Order: sequence, then structure tokens, then C-alpha cells
Amino acid sequence: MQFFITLVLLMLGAVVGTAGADDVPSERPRVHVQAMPTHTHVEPGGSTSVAVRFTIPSGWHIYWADSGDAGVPTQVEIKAPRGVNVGPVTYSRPITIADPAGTVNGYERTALLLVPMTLLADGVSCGWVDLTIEANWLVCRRVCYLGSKKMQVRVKVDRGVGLETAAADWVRSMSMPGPVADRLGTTLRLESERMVIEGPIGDSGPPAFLPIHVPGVELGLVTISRDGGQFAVTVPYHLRPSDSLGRTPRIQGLLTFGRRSVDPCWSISRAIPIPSPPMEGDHQ
Amino acid sequence: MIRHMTQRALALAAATVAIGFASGLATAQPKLTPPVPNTAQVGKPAPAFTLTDIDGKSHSLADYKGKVVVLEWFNAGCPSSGKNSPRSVHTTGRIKQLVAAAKQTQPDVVYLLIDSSADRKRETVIEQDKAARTEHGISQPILIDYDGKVGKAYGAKTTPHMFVIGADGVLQYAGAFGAKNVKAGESDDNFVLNAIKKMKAGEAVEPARTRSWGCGVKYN
Repeated sequence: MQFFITLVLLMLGAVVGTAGADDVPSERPRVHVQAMPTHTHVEPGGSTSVAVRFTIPSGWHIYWADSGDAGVPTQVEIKAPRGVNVGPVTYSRPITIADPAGTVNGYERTALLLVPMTLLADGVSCGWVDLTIEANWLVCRRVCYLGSKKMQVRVKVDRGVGLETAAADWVRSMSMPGPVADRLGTTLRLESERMVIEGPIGDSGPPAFLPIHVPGVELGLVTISRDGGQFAVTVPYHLRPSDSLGRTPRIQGLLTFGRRSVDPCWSISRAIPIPSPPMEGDHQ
Repeated sequence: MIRHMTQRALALAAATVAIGFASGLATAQPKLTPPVPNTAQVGKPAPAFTLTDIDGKSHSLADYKGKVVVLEWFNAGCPSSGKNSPRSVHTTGRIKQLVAAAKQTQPDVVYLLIDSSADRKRETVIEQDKAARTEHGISQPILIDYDGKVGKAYGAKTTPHMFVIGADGVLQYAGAFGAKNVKAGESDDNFVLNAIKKMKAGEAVEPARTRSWGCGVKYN
């Protein structure tokens, strides 16, 4: 019996091996991109969002805001008229995908980028607001293709509360991160060279931390422990100011539970205080 | 000290580590990323290599001792690298601009492209690299690293992924070509040229480590 199992495994290995070289997709994948406001209209001085949905052909993936070991982040650039503030963009929860170069963070089948917009009360009157949205992505399987699409989105400005559109359903069907401070019973603290997140595990599966790279902040090996229904995630960090490109050092990422793209996630963005240099006369 | 070259892999692996987390609240002390042996580190001697280029000529890093060496990980099929696309560093002319500016700063700078792709037959890789060389007018050698040993020794993840080695053989810069994967005509910081200029001026290279972007290197 063992012999036959070994034989089958060897045959499977041979098939996989044969499928390697020159087995690259020859056709460019078609990523379908749609953009739509989440409400039928918005009041002057009010807020709404524009959802940008990517539908990705089976077997292919595009990338999260932090693509990981390889890839190029999917991005949307928005041009809005005066009196309209847009951003920052929120990305739906990614999954981790194995890549010959390491591990990448991205999306298979569907991704959603949510662009919040606020109308200044005295800046926009009733009528229409026209937005130009340009989406850029890198879609990969064994080969990669760059994609780009420019879209015009009209948002109606009117009195009263707007009704939800189909785009609101898009948002509900995805896991969109909220601030970790909104997660019940969860605390986050910065200690010397480490960040600790603690809280209840919940029903969605084990926690994990998916970091977003910030120049000049190097993260160490994350450790995760639990005690009954409580977890603790410890993220060691080390500042390297010379590599910071002038940006404020912070720890950014997602606290995730479970492994599926629809499982819950929470965003973390915490500025790291820069230790002040020792004053003259200070003793070590 | 945390080693940048392994940071991403380990930080991302942490997400996976989460699946098998241990019992006992906060019993684990935070650990800094241990250095991975045989992986290039900024500030340390660059890993030695000998590779053959697409014309059959052998190149050793040792051949260029005393000169500044720039390594660019390359893939003729990647739209950020050698494939004709609006954001390719070759199509947009950004590599040519870099080489010209680097030579103005450091006339004897050596620029080598390395292709670690193994998702196609070796002959196909060479054939496509030759076609890309003609298409983009690449005048620098394109070295073939089909078994990926050199790429893995340097921790090359993407195409492009850039490395600058000082005349003393020490790795001075590792990371992205520039801050963003821009289109032709869009401005961008060039980290490689910055490193060469800093070295010429006798200053510390800052930034010395950045996050690279591009297609993943197609290792076997």
C-alpha cells in the first residue's frame, strides 16, 4: 500500500514538475473595475464614499496597500473639484499568497477600495460633483500585467439623506477594517521597542498581524500568545531614522482574525515617539 | 539588530505564525529578527558571484574590485522591468538616465543586470533577454542566474530590485529603484543615484534600505 502511495506521489510530482517551465498564461487577464457612490445623493456639508470594486479573473491576483515581498500596490488616484475632500483610501482585507519571491498580500476574485468624500458646507451647492478616478494595478499569476482604468463618477448633491446604492452592498460583502480602538475589550500599547495588542479572541479564528511597511521602521518577529479566550500580539520594532525618507515613524498594519478575506480585521496606525537625544551633562 | 533584508519575510511570516500560537499569555518575549546567514546585508561585504551573461561571457564581482557596482534584478517579461509598458524602468528611459547620471558622478561605475527567472526554459530566458536588450537599447551585460543562487544570496525579491556595492566591496544600498513605480515624465527620487552621489561625497548613504517594488523574481 505504502508503495502505491509513494508511486502516486512521485507521478504527481512529475506532473507538477512538467508544468513548470514555459507554462505561462499567454492571454492578458481582464480585471473588471467599477466605481460607484455608496449613496444616491449627499447633502451639502455631508459625507459619503465612492466604492471602487475590482473583479479579478480566477487564478490571478492583484495587490494590497502593502504588497509584501513582491508586487506593486493597487492604487486609486482621485481628482475632485474644490470644496470636496477625499481620502484616505481604505482597502478591504487582503489574503496572503505564496510567491516564488516570498509571501505577498493581495486579492483573488474581488477587491474593494473605499474612498471617503466630504463636501464642505459652504463649498458645494446642490447639483452634481464630478470625480475623476484613476485605478492602477499589477495583476499576476506566473506573469504580471499592469492595468489602468480612468473613470468618471458623478455624485448628486441634494437635501435630505441619500439612500444606499448597490455599492453599499459591495462594501457589506467585504471585510473592511475599522480602527482597532473600536474593537471591544482590545487594548494597544507602545513599550520600548515593541507594541503589544491584547484582547478577546472572539469567534472568527486566531489573530495575526499584517504589517504595512513604513520607511525607517523595521519590524521583528511577531509573537502571539493566548490565555483562554484572550490573546496578546507583540510586535518588536527598531527605528532606523536614516532610512525614514523624512516620514514620521509609526507602526501600521491590520489585526486580523481568521484566514478568509471576509473574516474581520482592524486597522492599526500608531506613531512612535522619537527618543530625544541626551542633553549635555546627562550621564549614562 | 534587526536585519532589513529578512524583515519582510519574517514580519509576514508572523501572520502565519499566528495560526499556531502558544498558550500562556504574554509568556513569549519579543525577539528581534536574527540575521540569516549568506544573505546580503547593507554595511557588510557583498556576496561574491560569478555568472555568465546572455552572450556567454563570464563576470565575477571580483573582476570589478575597486569600482562601484550597481546590480539591477531584471526580467524581460515584467512590466515594471524589461517588458514594454508605460511604467517599465527601461521603457520610460529611467535606467538610461540613471546610468548616464551615475557615470557623470562616478565615471568607472559598473552596471550589471541579473536575471534570476526560472519560470521558462533557460534558452527562452536568454532569447527574451536578447530581444529586450534590442528593444530597449540596453548596453550593459545581462547576467543569467537560472538557479537563483545569486538572487537568493542578495535577497532579491522584485524586478527591479537594486543593489549598490562600494569600491571596497561593501554593500551600500539595497532596495527600490525609486520611491514609486512612476510613468514616463513623472518625477521620482532615485535612490540608486542618491547612493552613488553620497558615496562619492564620502557621506553615509541615506536611505540605505528601502522597500523594493515590481514583479516577484521568478525563482525556480
